Amino acid sequence: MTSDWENLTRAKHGDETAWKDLSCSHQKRLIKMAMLITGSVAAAKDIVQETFLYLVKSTTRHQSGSFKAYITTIAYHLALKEKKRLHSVTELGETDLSEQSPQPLETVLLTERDLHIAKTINSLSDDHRNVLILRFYGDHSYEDIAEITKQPIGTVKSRIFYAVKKCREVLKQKGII
Amino acid sequence: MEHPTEDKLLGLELELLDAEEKQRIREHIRECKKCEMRFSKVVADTQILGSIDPEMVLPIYDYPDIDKHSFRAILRFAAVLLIGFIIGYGTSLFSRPVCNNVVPQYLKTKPVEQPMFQFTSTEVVDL
Repeated sequence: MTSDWENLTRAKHGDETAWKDLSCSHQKRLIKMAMLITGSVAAAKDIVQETFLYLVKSTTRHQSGSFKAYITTIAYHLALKEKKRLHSVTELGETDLSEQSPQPLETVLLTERDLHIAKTINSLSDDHRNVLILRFYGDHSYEDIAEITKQPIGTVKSRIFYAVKKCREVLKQKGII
Repeated sequence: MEHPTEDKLLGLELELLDAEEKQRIREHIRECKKCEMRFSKVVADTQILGSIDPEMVLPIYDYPDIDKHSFRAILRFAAVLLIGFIIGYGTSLFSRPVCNNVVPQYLKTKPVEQPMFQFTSTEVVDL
């Protein structure tokens, strides 16, 4: 089986099959992650497309370590940047653009349970929420999360513990769990 | 052994405990039905947090036309160069440099008062 790094090299040289393999195997996970960070499905799709474009166009020869962590790092930072942009525009216009975007999160979360979980995750502070999203939706190890967020592993572990504990409490109050 | 706290059970599920503590709690859970149930509940609650499954059609990302992009970049660069040249040339037309050459006095020729060519050769001889 071809590794993701090999697929990336082939995609950079014009291999469309390698490009499709690469995008198919990572896009759903990345879209979910970007969607939860930004709160907008349309923004998440754009972010993932930008991530793949960056990968193929970048001249970096970095080919070691976890490809999953590498691609997630790019998407994660793009998502944070987009969230910041949406937030600054929201402050100026005093309306929540993520809710007014063509495809807000609510349109794709069909069950009430999913909606409550998303809202609960969204109620956490940025630091706690991002770590939780990377763990549960990025499927990353604590070492990877520490690398992506540039935080010590101890901080990552305490944040994930607090985030899960807090979410459990809120979901219990709501009667979801 | 005392029953582990809820935080310890959560720590176990999230793989945050050290090997020794993990082993001790796992052994207790095997023996204590009540804690086994409590731990199952913690596992189920935790898994729920990662279970959001959005209903959406995944986009198909077309392969980027890298050559086209680099060709565009070259065109853009050439356009910038051309515009720069035109601006530079236009500016030079309006601001011609003032010539500051100093002509030495000895090079300044005085007009001849009585040029020789106004006389014929014989007159010159007579003169």
